[in-house]
Amino acid sequence: MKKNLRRQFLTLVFLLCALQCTFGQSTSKIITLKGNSVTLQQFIEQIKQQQSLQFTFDEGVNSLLSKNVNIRKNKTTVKEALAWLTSDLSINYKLIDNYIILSVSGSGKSNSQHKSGRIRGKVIDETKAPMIGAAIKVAETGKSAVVDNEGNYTLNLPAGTYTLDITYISFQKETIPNIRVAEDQTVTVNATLKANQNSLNEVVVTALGIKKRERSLGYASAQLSAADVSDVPQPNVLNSLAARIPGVNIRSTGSDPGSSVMVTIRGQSSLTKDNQPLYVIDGVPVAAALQNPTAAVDGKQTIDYGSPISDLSADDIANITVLKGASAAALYGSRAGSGVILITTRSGAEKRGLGISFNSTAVFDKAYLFPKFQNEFGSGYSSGSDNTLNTMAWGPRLDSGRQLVQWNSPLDANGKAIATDWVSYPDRVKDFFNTGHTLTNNIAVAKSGEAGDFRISYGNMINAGIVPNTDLKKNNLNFSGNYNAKKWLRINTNLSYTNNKSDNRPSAYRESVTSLIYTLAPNININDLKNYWVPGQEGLKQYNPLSTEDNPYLVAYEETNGFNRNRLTGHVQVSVDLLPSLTLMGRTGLDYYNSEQDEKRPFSAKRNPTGAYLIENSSFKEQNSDFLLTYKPKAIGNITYSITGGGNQMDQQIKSVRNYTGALTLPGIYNLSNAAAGSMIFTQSFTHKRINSLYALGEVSYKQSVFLNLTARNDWSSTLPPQNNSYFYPSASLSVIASDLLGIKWNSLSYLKLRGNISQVGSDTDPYQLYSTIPFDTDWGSVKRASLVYDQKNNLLKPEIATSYETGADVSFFGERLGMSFTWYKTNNKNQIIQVPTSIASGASTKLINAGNIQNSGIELSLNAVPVKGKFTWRTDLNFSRNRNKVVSLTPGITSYLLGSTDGSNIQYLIKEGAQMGDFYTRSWMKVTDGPYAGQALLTANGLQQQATEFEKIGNYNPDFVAGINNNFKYGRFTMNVSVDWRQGGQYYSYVAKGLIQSGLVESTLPGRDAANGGLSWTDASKVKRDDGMLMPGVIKNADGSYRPNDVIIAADTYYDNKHWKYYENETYSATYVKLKEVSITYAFGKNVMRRLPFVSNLSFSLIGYNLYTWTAANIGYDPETTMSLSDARYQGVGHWTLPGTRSFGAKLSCNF
Amino acid sequence: MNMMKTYSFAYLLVAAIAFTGCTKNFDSINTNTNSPSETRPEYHLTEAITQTATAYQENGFARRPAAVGRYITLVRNNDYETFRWTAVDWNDIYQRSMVIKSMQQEATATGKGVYVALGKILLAFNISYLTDLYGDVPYSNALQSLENGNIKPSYDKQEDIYKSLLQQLKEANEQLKADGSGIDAAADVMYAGNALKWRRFANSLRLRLLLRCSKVYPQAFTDMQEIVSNPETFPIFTSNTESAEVTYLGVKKDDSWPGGPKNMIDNDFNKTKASKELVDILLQRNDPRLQVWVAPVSAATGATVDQNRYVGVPHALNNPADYNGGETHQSVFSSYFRKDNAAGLKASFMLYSEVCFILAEAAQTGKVAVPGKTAESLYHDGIESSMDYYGVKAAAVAAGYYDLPLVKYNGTQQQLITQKWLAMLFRGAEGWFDFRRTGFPQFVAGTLAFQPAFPVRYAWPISEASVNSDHRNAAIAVFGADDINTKMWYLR
Repeated sequence: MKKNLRRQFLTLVFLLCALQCTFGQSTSKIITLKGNSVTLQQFIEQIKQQQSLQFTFDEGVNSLLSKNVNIRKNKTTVKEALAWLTSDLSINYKLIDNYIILSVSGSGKSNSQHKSGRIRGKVIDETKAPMIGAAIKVAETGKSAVVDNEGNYTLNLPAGTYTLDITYISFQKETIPNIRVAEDQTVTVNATLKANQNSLNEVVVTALGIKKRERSLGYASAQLSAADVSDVPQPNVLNSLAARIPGVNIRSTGSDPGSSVMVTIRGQSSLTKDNQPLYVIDGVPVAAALQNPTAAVDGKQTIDYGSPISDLSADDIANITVLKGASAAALYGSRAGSGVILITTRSGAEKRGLGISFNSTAVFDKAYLFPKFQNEFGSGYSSGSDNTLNTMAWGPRLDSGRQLVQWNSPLDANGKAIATDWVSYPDRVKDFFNTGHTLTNNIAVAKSGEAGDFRISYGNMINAGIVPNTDLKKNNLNFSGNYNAKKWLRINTNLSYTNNKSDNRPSAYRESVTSLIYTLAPNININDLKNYWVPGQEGLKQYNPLSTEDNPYLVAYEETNGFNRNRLTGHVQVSVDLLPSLTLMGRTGLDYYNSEQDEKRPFSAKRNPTGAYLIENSSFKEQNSDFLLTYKPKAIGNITYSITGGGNQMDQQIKSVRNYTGALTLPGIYNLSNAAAGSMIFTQSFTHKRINSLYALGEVSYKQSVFLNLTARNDWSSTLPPQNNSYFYPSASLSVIASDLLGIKWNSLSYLKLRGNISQVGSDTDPYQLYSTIPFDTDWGSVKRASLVYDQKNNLLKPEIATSYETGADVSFFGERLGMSFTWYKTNNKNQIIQVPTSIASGASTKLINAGNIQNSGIELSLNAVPVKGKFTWRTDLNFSRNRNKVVSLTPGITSYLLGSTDGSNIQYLIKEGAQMGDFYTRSWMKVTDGPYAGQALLTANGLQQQATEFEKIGNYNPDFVAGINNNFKYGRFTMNVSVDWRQGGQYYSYVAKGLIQSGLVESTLPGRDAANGGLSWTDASKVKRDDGMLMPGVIKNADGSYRPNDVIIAADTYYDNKHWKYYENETYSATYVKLKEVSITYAFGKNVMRRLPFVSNLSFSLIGYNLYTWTAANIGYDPETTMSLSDARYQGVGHWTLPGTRSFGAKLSCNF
Repeated sequence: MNMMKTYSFAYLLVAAIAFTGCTKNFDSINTNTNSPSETRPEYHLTEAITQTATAYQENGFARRPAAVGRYITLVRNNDYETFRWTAVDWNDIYQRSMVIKSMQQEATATGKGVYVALGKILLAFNISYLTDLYGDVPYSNALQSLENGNIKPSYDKQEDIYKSLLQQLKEANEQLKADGSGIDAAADVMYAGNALKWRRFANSLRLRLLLRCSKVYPQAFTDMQEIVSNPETFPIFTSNTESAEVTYLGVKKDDSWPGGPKNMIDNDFNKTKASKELVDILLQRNDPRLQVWVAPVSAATGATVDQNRYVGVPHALNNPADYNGGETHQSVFSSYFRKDNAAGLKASFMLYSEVCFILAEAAQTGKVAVPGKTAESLYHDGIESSMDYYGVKAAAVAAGYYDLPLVKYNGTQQQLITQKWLAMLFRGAEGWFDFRRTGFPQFVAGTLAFQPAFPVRYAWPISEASVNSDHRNAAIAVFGADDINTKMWYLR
């Protein structure tokens, strides 16, 4: 006992120190054995001489020491040699640490045919559940037994050598040969049955990390395997969800690898929350995925510092489970209202023994999706004017052999500007962007044995962005370990440290490099701007002859936005088997990160003439401590049941300090002490929140064919008023394997499963929503100022409640060559805690109340098929989802609610009863209401459109449906994967299109510019004859009240300005697109190659690519997937100044040792 | 071993119950420690003074009032000028009013009554600006969300609001006269706790409001007479040093002049040209303020229409940036207005010179007699104090400014208002308000304007239609259509 403990302690030390590789290798090391046949004693001596191994053995073995062992090979591995003992002398061996334990199976006495012995043991499945009812058959005698309710069986047999066949419906037959049974002895033979390669038997990680078989789930489940995530490793793993899981919608802020990704599961349901799922890593909830974008210190650019969830390395993920409905997520409570994404990281238990794996990926990003710029007309006011000193591109025709004075004209001796060639630079935009690259390397060492397992991995990612001088660097170190301290006591832990940093993130929005580059007139050569300082005034004055905007290279190289995030996540978990049927698990997990942001602005920056500097330091800490008591008693007849109860305490603290100055004293010194006297602005915040919970779940199953799951949870949230801070919610789900239950034995049908559930989830709010406080304003010199908060709090808040229903079926045919899964769901989110806008004349601009009923309903359909199987195999998966949102009601007296607005308040996201969330509204132009001209634009006397007063719906950002197609082709050693993402419907408004049209920079603004482009001849107010006249379609009201068709010719630039600048529906486009999301071709090297490579056991090489091609219905050069506003809030359906669409190519090398 | 199991089980169970069942400390967890739940009235006083002054000044320099008051012409994004106006938010005004109300409540609670009086003045200033911009607005039932939950305040008629504000100002004067002590001198960044100066401001503001509504409010001139006849009871501004103004610090964005580099990028400053109306009126009078205010054109040759050194841009042109051969042939404002702070750059509530012109106009009607002054002498005081303000008092005299036929007092309202308009450059919306009241100076809308008539008000914020629609509809029934051409009570 003592020795045993010590050994186990040593094992733990070894596991933790990860120095234990030596033994694992020593059993596979080659040893040399002398002689053809030696005694067991000699055999042991020979091995001991060559390897530092200790042998221990029982009396049975002791008596066999003089018996002979046949030496089959002189050079062999220890492992192979030990196996000879089994066949020659029936000696079993066990490897523990440096010990080899030898024992005699069946105690090695003579085989008497007449005296009886016994075989007994336990049969379990991969989830360690007893395989009640499994059949044990002795091949030699035909005698059989059935596994009892605790998973045990017993067979009484005469002494002899037997083979056992263990079978169970839907499970693979397990055959155990060479069992020697001796008289009066009991041999223990345990077995673990593996489920058939049948999707019903797949083990699925469900809420709280409880593993269940697919067959028992009353809701649609969706999983991504390690291969799905890491075959084409996306820098942000969330991008791997796109096109793979029905009901999941992905939208990204930009094409940069560090961009945040917004995940919406089964539609948006909350009016005020971000509708993002809860992320749970190895059973422990972690930080929210979205962080509010921050306006940079200059107030215009916006920086996306990425979401902490992207800290995960694709190579460390074992699988991702998406819990979509409220029922699936009910046990996660309050925070799971928008679904849960469960991430299981890899552990050492995946493989027996020691394994080392190494993955290396290199990916190159190339910008290719640009707006359709025009290159025919240069900067200026009109095509007829020679004045080119303007940032708009309405000027004279380019490439016509002329010379004109322009922005960078040199001066002659008299200081007069010299005319230069008036030519276009069609590559001005492309020339600015670099080829980005991302290099990812990951190495992992894993080991597993009787006592437990561990895995250590280190990952490193280095990215250089497509914008010059932007980067991203990531380092991950991960440790996971399981230690089986006793048969009844298991400890496991997972620790992960990530450092994510960048010296400069590309900015987005107005005045970002993208906006500066896109708005360059076609006569500007971008290379002329590369030296961004005025010679002799480096660091003081930027070279920017255009003067109105910053030089884009200055923004890239000097207006930097750096960050550095250190993150530690981990948990410790202890499981104790109190009784064979009663297990208690206790766990505590932590997610902590500290993030520093650092923004610099040089002297002469447009918004900060004397520079600016900002430091923000924020930390996030969330601790979850929970316990779970599981009772799995004996079955009663065909009925098995289990009950689990548990509790959780969530404690979350967020701190931030943000200090900045909008004016430096000396240039180039980025230190807050260099702030101009009195210019420092300090902000600080701290929030604290706690939720205590108790929950229970019970499962009852009948014949492993009918499963009823019930859950209940009660939360106590610190954020709600005391009288309402406790809230309870239940769920029930039912799964019926109709094919098994009804005994449908139709050859073609593999299985048919029906499922349904109903559930509720309660939810709280943010901290400090009950009572107002009075914030300090910035100081006025040395005097304090106090302002007010105009969002009125409410100390009578109640918890929100969401009720959902879901039903569906899974069916499979022809040995799973063809399968289909269908789900219908409906969720109503009621009593939402929302800030309803109020008239500021009341003294508050919003008031917090419980209101609303938002309904999401939809269908999810997936089809999978193996059309070709054999040497060439083709698998295809198709998934389809469609969600319909409906605002059932708001609150009495409020029929519309402003969710937010973009582009000033010109585009409004209004929530109206009976309408959908995601609708956006704007004011159109005035139209004639009746008469023969009804519907035509009512123009001013000047022939211009005028704005109507009422807001009209112009679009909705939600797609009509989302479909994904994944294909896998296999031929010999080649595998090819192709995934396609198709999103149909929905609209987006493009800020960029508006800006580019107004400045005359895109092809669509060519018509009417000169006679060649169909411009009309006209004379302007200054009596100048021009040929850039256009007529706005519409009618003009005559003095007598009648209408006449418009006859007032206006200049082309006025036409486009009037048509597009205020009329946002003219820049609202279809968001339909089809994207070739991921392609990979992998070659796995064969044994022939492997034999020549030392140590390597597996080697594969892949060519990978993502976002290779995008087809958009609008076809104007914008990627609808990245239409999300990055302003103060994240509004979907807004195309803003983000980086151009990129395509990425690369290669990946994977090897295992 | 079983003992151990039992213990660990018991231990975990106890721990589990302990950490989940307890909600005792929720109160402290959910207490916002980032800011106090109550503060002192002086913190709100500084907030109210500085926020009102800077916002009012910013409106007067860079927003619609500057454009429709015809001081500036924007050559890009010129919706202000073309009268392509969308509704304007009034958030900031009500927010400041709420700060003032909070200050008054804290003052009452802590027995610092003097802040209640200052609050009346500041509230009257803010609400009068509000009603001058919009006409009928929520007032008597406004700002009550916190105290009685009224989130849908009804609209009051401008007439009633005006009467109430005049009363408030009167009360503030009386209260400060009775006891003006106890104002925190550091917090009062305008008058350093000098109650007499606050009284001068209150009474001067009353004069502004009385003149504004004098056409329709019979008692206006009587009240004005009472004020000017009793300077002891109703002191008013008597010099530039008493004007209600806050000095910019020029350190941060929000304490800097709106035209300085901290608040305005080059592009925006450069697109803001001097109006043709302003430059021409100054040129015609050889006004010494021209050189202080306006920059000469940057290109010497190449002008197509106007060859002067100072060229203002006319109202609502097609391609205004192309006017006169391009922007190098147009005048922007001088570097005087391109600083974050300077001696002459202040955030003004009201100037002494405005009081001179108000009284001059009242005297000109013959309905008010100012002791020791005539309409002409008051007109002269108004011009002189403005010249003094811009440091050209002597230069004006030297140039014989006051004897010019255009300047020499001729008893017309047009002449008087034209001079007042010059003196009110960038001071709130006074230029526009006087124009819509008197029609002077005679501005004419440009060809590209969306309507020939100058707007006379702002439309109520768009949000009112959804968050306060019943009261808004009721207000329309009383006030008239919610558009930029509906005349408010005192303009009818």
